[in-house]
Amino acid sequence: MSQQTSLTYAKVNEDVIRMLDKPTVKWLALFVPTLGVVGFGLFCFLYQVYTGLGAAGYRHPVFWGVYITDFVFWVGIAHSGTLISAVLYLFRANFRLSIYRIAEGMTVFAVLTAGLFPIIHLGRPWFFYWLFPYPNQRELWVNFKSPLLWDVFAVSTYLTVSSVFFFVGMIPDLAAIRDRVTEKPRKILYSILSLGWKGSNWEWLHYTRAYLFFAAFATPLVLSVHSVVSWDFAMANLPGWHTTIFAPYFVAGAIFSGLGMVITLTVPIRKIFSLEEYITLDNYDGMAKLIIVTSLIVGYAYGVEFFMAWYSGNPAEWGQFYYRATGEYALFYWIMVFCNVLIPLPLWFKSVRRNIKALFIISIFINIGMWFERFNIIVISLSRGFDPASWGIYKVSWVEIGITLGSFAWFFMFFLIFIKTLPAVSIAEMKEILPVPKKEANGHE
Amino acid sequence: MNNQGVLGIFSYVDLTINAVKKLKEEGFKTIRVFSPVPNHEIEDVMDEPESIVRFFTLFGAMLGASCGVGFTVLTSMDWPLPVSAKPIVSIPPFIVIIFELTILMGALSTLLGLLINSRLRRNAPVDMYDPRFSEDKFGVMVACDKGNVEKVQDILNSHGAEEIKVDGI
Amino acid sequence: MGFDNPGTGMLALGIANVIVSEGLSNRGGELSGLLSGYAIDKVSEATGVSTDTIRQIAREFSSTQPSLAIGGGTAVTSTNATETLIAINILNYVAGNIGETIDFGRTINTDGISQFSDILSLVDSMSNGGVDILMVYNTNPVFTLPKSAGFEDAISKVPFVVSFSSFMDETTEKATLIMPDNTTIESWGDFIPSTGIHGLIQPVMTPVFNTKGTGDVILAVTANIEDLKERYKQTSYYDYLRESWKTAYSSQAGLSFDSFWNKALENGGYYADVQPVQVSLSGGLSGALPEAEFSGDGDYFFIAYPSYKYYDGRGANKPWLQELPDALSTGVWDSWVEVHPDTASKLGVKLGDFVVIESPQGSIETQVYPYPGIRPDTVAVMIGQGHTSYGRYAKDRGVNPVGILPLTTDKLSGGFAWFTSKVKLTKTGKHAQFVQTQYTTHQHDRGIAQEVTLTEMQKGLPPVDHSLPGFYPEKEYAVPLGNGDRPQKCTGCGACVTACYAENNIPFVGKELVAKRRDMAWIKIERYFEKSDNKAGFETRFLPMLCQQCGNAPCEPVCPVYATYHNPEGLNGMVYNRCVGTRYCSNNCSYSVRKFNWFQYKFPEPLNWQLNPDVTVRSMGVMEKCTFCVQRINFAKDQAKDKGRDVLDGEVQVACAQACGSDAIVFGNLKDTESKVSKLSEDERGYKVLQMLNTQSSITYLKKVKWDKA
Repeated sequence: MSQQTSLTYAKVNEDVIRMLDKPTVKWLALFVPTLGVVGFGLFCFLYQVYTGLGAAGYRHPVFWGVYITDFVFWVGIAHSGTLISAVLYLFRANFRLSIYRIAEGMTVFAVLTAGLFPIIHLGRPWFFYWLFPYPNQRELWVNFKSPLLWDVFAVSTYLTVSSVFFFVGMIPDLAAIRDRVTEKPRKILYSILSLGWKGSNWEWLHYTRAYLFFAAFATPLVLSVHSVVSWDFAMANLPGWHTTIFAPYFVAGAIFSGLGMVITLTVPIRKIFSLEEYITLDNYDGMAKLIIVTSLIVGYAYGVEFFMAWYSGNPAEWGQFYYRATGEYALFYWIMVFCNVLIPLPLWFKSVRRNIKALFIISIFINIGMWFERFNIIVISLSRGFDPASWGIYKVSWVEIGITLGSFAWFFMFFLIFIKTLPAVSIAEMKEILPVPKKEANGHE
Repeated sequence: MNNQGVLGIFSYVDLTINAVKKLKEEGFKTIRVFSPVPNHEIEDVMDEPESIVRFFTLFGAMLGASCGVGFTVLTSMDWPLPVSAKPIVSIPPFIVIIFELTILMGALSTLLGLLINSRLRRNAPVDMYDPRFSEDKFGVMVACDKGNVEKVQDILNSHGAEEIKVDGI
Repeated sequence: MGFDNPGTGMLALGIANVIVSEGLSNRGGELSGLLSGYAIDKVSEATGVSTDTIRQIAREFSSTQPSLAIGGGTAVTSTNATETLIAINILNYVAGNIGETIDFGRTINTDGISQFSDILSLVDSMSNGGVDILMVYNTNPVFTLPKSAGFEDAISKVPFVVSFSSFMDETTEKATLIMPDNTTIESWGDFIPSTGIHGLIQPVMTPVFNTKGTGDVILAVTANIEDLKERYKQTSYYDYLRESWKTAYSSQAGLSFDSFWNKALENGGYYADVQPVQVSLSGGLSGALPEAEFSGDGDYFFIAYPSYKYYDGRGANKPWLQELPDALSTGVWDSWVEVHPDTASKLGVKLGDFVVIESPQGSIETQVYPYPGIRPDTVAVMIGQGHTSYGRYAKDRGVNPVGILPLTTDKLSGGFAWFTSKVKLTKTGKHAQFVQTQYTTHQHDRGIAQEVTLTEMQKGLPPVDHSLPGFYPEKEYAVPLGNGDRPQKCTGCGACVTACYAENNIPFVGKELVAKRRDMAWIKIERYFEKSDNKAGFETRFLPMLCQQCGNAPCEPVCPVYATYHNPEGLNGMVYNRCVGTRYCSNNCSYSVRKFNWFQYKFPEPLNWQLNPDVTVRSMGVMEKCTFCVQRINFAKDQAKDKGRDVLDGEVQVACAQACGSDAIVFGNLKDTESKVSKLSEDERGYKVLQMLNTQSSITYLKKVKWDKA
């Protein structure tokens, strides 16, 4: 990347580690209410456990609602983190460098959030561990034919691998922090976390190799995880779910929503911590282009679903899609189309792609639109299955809203802790794109 | 007996590389270079053998795949419960599990390989470090016997080392 | 309710006139004097039935033998009810049905039943202070009589009222002394519903509460009355009942009394042959039938009809019946007024809007249910709700239409005439969700409830092939258990639904939860309205929908914990204690027949007594569904094993099939090619619901046959 910069190795260290200074009043003003909302979400969950799942708004035949919507939403958010850190790493796309740590953090925290929902939505959440294969006194193993079991494996693998990836990528930076901080407790903490990293050529040799493998694993993983999530629906025979387009459609949607969330998160951080030199307009330009691509894929999928429903001549299938666009939930459907297909269109213009305010607003709409996309797929399809006698409308309850808000707070809580404890921009990798300090200026690179 | 360590601290990569080249020419085998970033030129001049982390990765991934096959097939046969007229051992759904376990165990054994190789295996008698290596300085550490300490110091000095430290056991 | 308009009698005579005048029958010539007054044009104008239709009915009715015209329902509850029945029987006479399909032998038993006029004179004497003691047994006149009868005021003038009742109802509330009676299932008793049928009632359980049968109370009292001591020697009502049967029947049966008694207990009574009663047409039939008289100045005829669930209101305190969806509206736990959709749009009201129904005798306010099966000039409200007492499930629920009826009688019989009122309908502007269990009346081309016309049947139907090519190899286990459902025979009554509640410990959930579609019924009656060829008309189809026990069950593979799986008999087993409640099975059930325990449902005392000990009471957070009464299957298998044989066809009776009055549901072993269900499943009318999904459902439905002959 050829950019004019005043950054030096030392300044990178200074700028990044400065972010970890003692929490300010502003930070606390964000953190404390966030904790409060997490607490409210926890209360809602406990209330639901106590009274039964009826506390949520489910009504026959809509047996999945906001919780699974939240699950897919958060898994989707997670995806672009891995995309930015692993896939773009393999493609050597340098615009990832300044944002990938934030994106990876987002991945881990989003998976941590997503992972709660399959448990929250259970009828008997206290038996959630029955979904894991372990030898038990019932002598019963799990049903590997169930897409939900695939979810268990995919999501737990994803959490493990993305956490490892997140952590390994951070080791050199943790060492840099260790070398800089002076207070005893922090020194000890970062010494442990950095695993004694010294930056020797021997360490770098294995490190770069291992990092490449992690990236190589994470890439198919990220594709598989959202494919598996999409199969939760596509494997069912329900009209509106049972379609082969779901895996690529969901993966594109996941990246789309994740990029939206990355922009939503980085814009304020960039402003607050004055990281304009790190997270540059070029970075945003690159992400905006990816948003256009994924938005087009998602928009294409919306169209194909309708076409296939009509073309199949299946009354249940066509009935479902006609209902989506015209029925009781039509507002949600058109919100989705508006946010995901129309709103990103201005990004075709370079001036919009490089306008931080415009990007921020667009990213918020993308987050909303993608939440509704999952809601529409799940709830509208379930509302109108094969048997007209069973049709019914789902209404969200306050408990579900509380838990959803709690999940956002839970995610931001981790994020707020993250930006105060861990390097939000990769110190080592930022240095890779800076000019190598050389006595003789004519060296290559 | 390489029981002495000499550490030279540099500000510039090219000077660091020249120093390493010279030391290698002089026959010093146990050299370690510290840098805040991975650097291809350093890697080239050091000319270390290919990292064996890849074997950990390969082995882990293969183990994961076999575990996936064994686990899904054996647990399904342990108590055959027919569902929806599908075969008890139904390969297509199991592939998903096998795939995920391949990735999981491959990634975990890569981590293990990284930890083992970069930290547990040592090739120098003493461990020298300077906190500035994680910021913007480069370091060259040479393990040598007592008699060669001065020679090394000279080489480092002449190649622009800003600071030199000596440590022994 | 085809012809529930004031002109039913006219229509019958109009049809008879066509038959006679066109010479379709060799009878009825002597009636031409009467019938000539019912020319087809005149009848058509008065009844709104087209001349073509009348003519078509007349031809089919006379040419298709045997035929039968039945009078009943709301058509014969007006001031000319008896005359209407006479008119209907004239039609039967003309068509040659007397002595063929009608013999007048077995008629409703009216011995010892008071006339409506007796009740009115009782009310009179009560009001005048002429009654010192009033004993009320097994009746609730405060609720069931029109307010205009004045019973409520009159009873307060009686100094001593004794009520023998199992429940605190409106009348019992006014009693001076309450003698809590055993309920029907705790009592001995007998009754004669119609000629020749002597029913014997035996208790199925010992009394739960501290109650005493009314018969026992009376015997205990007579023992202390000198004059009666000798007449009633028995100390218990059981002895008295046995004794009374001894004198009445022992000689007739030709058996020892003990065997006669035991046989009667086993059969639920004693059934005597009834000889047909010879009737002849008396002369002097001429002139015109009187027209029905209506009071009130409203625009709409008002029908208050007895509900098949609550009858006159006595069923309203049973939550099973409250939660049972009405066959046509599928409404539960409430009242509504049936209004024709055209009338509703004229009034500017839609489903769930509240209207006030006002007659000179009073007014009631209830929700609108637009129903195309009612005439645009008529509205109807079901009797049975609107209790002000009668327990926690009946009280303050819905409205009682009897309250606003005028006190009118049928001139000829003296019985109460229900259908004599014209009412005003006023929109209130209030709206609430109308709590139903099925919100659509259309099949949306899904082919759920199919039909075939008689013409098609006669041409022959193509052979049925239930198999579709599958993705997986042929399975090594089979689908031996199956159900055959015959929607043709289904009346939509829902007896199967309640039987299933009883057998399988299904909790009732109440109106608030049914509104959220959280009712727990394992079997439901789907009802669809289909447009008929006749443009004004429509046709109702009922279809019992329950777990199809699919061979390729969509619910099974998606369960992560094997809580539902395929058992060796081909049932979709449901293991409650394995279930963690992901509810994926229900999402993937194409028939939407799985129910989820959203809460820990309660069976409050004394409803805990209804629980079937053979069936698990499910806990919060697990899925449940129909299992084809697997407990009964296992019981029959154990019994057969003890006897060293296979289970016989018909030995296992699932609760829904057992309760079905019209034998619309048949259960049996599909692997036994001789079983009734196997034969039915190969019927040419057989089809599987949603067959294109290849779920290999084990339930075969038989298409409804539609009459299309002219």
